[in-house]
Amino acid sequence: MSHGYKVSAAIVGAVLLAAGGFLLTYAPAAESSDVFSRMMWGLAIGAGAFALALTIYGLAYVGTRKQRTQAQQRSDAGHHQGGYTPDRLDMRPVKPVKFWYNMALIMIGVLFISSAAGTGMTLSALLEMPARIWDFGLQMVGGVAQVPDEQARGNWSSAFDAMLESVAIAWIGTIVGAIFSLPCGILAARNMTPLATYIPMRFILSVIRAVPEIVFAVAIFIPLLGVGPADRGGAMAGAFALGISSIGTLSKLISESIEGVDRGPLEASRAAGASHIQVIRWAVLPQVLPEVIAIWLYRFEVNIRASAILGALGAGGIGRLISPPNGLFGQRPYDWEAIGITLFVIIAITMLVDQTSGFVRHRVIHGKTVKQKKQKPGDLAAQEPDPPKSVAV
Amino acid sequence: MSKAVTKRSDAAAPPAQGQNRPKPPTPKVPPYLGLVVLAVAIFGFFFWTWEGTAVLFFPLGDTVLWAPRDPLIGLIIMILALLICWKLRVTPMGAFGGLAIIAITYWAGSNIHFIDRIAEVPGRLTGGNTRQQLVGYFNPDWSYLFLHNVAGTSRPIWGEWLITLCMAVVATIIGCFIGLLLAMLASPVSSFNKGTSQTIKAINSVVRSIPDVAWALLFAAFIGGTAYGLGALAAVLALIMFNIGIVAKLLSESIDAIQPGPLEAADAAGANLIQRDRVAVLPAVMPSFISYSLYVFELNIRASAALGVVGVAGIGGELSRQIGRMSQGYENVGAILWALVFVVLLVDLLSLSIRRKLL
Repeated sequence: MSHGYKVSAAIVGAVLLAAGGFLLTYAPAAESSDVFSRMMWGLAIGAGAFALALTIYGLAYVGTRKQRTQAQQRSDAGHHQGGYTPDRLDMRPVKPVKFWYNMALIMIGVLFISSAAGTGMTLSALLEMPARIWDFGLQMVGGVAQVPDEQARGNWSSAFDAMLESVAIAWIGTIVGAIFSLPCGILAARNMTPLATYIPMRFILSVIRAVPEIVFAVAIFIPLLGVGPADRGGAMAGAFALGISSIGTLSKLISESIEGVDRGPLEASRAAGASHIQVIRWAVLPQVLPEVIAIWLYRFEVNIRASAILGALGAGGIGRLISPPNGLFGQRPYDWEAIGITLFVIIAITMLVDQTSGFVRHRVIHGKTVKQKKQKPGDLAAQEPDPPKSVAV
Repeated sequence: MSKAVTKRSDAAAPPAQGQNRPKPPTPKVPPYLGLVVLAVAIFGFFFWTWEGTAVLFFPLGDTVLWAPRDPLIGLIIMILALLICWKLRVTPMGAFGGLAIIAITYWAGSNIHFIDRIAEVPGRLTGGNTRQQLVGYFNPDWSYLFLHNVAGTSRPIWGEWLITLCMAVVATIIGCFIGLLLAMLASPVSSFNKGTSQTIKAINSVVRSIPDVAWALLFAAFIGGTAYGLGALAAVLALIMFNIGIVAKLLSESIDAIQPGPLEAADAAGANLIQRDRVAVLPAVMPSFISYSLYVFELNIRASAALGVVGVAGIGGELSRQIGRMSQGYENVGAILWALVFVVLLVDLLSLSIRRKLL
């Protein structure tokens, strides 16, 4: 039956229609009604959609009964009349049954509707959004494109200040993470350490990974280092929260790349009588260091984005500039020109940092791109061969 | 940053006898002199912007760069580092990398007042309420989490957790779906033409560079309020944008790297672009799509807890309210934070088991 795609399209369409209609019409008073009851409503709607889908599926099955019997007859006919019997190898391969796949899709649909109802959002608010986006967007673009007057100059400079502070926070966080992550990564690599250090190290690292940055920031570093702008300690708190929480991810990635090293140099240095530390210094580090530097730089990019959310909590940086109650979005009416300028600065500096670190990463991993010059016959001897790609130590 | 480069070229020389191991050659002098000049130039820049002197950004206004307060120390450190590099016979490129790292760290550290804050820590530990705060966080008030309502309403606290989970689920499903479509368009392997893929990539990098807090605040403003019900919508939209950025970036890279075999087979069988994407590209990237979706779901739980800080629904809103009235006690904040760790751990385990089962 080649109606599979029609049936699944019908199912998806029905589910989406039901969800959309439900969310557009059902506007729960979110303060009064319970999340749980809202989710139950959603489940009921989901069950309805499921029943609808099942009906469509059944109707399709019934509708193709004639074709199926004909196909059955055709394949039976071969046996009865002694005619051409299709060999197993002559037939088209049997289509795999997609029952569980379809069921999983439907389950995801039901889960989706139920949780969409659970959030208590009213999609009717979306209807007014395009006009506002257009209006505010024009104001933002106007703010960026205008010839800066006194106020706009102030906006530009405060945006640059905050963004540079964010970059500084992210950099210090990355440095802190990098300093701790290399030893931790070595201790968490199975081929470098005995089991007695490996297991506790892995456990500690997975605990660190499970704790979100905001927990480190709010619970430990803001009390220890202070809250607010840089000169009152908020930026330090953010930097340390980012640093500690990057240790987990960085160490895991580093230990994985250490576990993947080539065993040859290790054996060679052991055979030459190297101690454990010498093995790490001369056989392991040269192999993994480009990858490790790339991992650190990648984390730097991640940290710049993460520092924004910490700023909203009271650690410094760009988050402090934009988030309420004191930031740009805390003022009414919104100063859309200032917001536009700030967003522009955020985008520009983030992309600049991304490009730079992407370039450095590429350079570290793949080495210098050698441009093939046209060789004159004479200076073949004068040309030095390119040094082999090797590694910072 | 390749240091100790020429070790291998020395191996060509005849092996030295006994103790006379061949040493790596000293690097060339002129590049090192250039690095010294660079260090002096950095010192000059720090000296110029000393004491928060405003630096002119040509037509746009002044920006305080917060140069280090003692640029001379920085110069001494940089010169010392260069000397050490010279002694260790590091190549100029490696020394340049080291110099750059030292300069940026010096700038960043002084930008966030590193030394002052570290010096302050013992004083904070003994005086003030820091000790009380830390004790409060490690003795969370569990009854608050399970029995109490959000202040002024009849909504229980655990209901807020449910809302947070719901927001994460909705945002993950929509965001990953849109991210899949955009990744298809962004990769030159599966896109219509080069121009489309470049455009989508540029848009995607803009979307990715705006942090999730900024998205949440923007959508809250676009929707027209941060009232309770609208707050959830703003958070979901913000998370969707956040997810689109991540999924489209990661997935378009894995589409770039798929095996060319199925693509060529589909082309040879005369498939058009959509058929080709459907039968050759999609099955190849489906495992990585699923694992990225699970990863994004974990990220969403963390982010949706954090986004509440800016006034949207879910547990984050309650967290920021409790932080706001922290003077009344730290046990409530402690309970929320511990529960956050617990929920994130649970979601991690769940996604790990799903990943094991599916892939």
